[in-house]
Amino acid sequence: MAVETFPDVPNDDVGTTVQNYVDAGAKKVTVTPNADGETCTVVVKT
Amino acid sequence: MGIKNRSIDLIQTASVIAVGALIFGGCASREQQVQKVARDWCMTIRGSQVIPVYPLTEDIQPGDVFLVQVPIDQQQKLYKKNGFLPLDNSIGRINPTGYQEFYGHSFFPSNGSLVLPRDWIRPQGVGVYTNNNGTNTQSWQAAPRVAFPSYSFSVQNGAGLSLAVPVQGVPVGLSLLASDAASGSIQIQDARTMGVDTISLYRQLKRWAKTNQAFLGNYSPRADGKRTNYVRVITRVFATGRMSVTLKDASNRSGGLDVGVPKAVNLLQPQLPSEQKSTPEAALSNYTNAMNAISEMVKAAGSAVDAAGKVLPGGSLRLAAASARSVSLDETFDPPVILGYLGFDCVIDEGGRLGPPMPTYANLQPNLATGIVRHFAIGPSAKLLRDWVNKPKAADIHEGKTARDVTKEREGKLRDWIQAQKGNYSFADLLNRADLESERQEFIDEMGAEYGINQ
Repeated sequence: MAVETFPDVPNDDVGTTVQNYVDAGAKKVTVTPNADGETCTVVVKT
Repeated sequence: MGIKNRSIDLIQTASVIAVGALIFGGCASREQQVQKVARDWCMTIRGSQVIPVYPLTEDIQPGDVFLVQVPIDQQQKLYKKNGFLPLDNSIGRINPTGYQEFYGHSFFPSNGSLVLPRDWIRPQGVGVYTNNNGTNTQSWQAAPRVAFPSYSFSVQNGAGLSLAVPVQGVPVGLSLLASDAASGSIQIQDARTMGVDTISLYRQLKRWAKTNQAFLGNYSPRADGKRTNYVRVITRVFATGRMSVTLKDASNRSGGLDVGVPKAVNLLQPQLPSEQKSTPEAALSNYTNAMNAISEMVKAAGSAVDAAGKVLPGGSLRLAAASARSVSLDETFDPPVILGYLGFDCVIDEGGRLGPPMPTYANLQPNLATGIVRHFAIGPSAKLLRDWVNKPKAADIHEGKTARDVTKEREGKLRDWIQAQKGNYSFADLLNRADLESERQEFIDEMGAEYGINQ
């Protein structure tokens, strides 16, 4: 299982990013808010 | 006669081999044991959810910035193998400004403030701060206390006692190599801690990174995403002012080779000294037992006879040694030394920009591993393409369809184009990965007019 991490996805783009990866067939997408309050870490498992 | 000479030659050769095996085997074991010293010590500290420092040092403090060039998956392997992560690549030392807010309502005096870490580790100004056994220096005395559990160990019949004590007890611990029986206990006392919050330190780190962006740019990720570098920032350190170590050991070593008719060999089982003053008695007892065992061997050798009562040719070489010791020490570190830390890691992105902070400890847990780290695309082509896919205009949503239907259609168009290009990435990658900028631009150039992307 491949794992890709985007450590700096702006909050405004998180929703569509997750949706796109789910549509693309990702098995699991995890979103964790970052300490800066402006970005999230998105981990995609495919 | 010929047989006898050959036997003697063989025994002489075997003697050299056996002695060599003992000596060099012992050396290999010693090297491994030295490595285990660091590993086992660090495992102890890790048990307390603290990342160990090895060797112990005074010179690590919150705000220290280290360059970490080992990929996370290899970090985990190294961490498991060695028990600690080397901190040999210091690239900066930030002076945290958040101490006042962090400790202002607890450990700082109500009137005035302190300059940390100096006023805690050197409360009486600079100068010599050693060998006062904690009576004069007051070093770290004002810092918050920490308690670590004490632990003890016991091994029997092991060639691998790996007691790990990076204090003056180390030589004693190492001398336990190849012990058959040993026990001991370790206590970490007078422990103190000092730390600062991640958010304030991260803000300072970002400012520091801007100033040093050119330097950090040298450590940007490789295009294939397989090599990523990090900066590690210490947020909290743990210091110890005293360690109590008790060791008891009894050991023997043996080796040998048989030529011709094997002779019986009985190895002794050494006894541990009950306390330090009984060490000579234990050593004498072990030695006597060893001699008795060897006497039995010699007696047994003479019993291997043929039908005519003649001793059969052949021989056996055995080497044996025995020892016993008991050592106690109570070592004070004055001033205290740092034994572990907590911190966070930031990815070094393209151009030397830093990613968000991730706790170092989380990075070292396989289940929290982050695999390949990608930079999220924020350029105009990425925004344009994402909007085209995810935010279709009302005019593009025809009767009987929803925005979601249009989005899925457009995702399909991206998928088809990638297939035609024989790309090994998904349409979501094309939308979001910074390293696919040229592919995105290519798609817009080729299909932009047809799909109305630029409108």
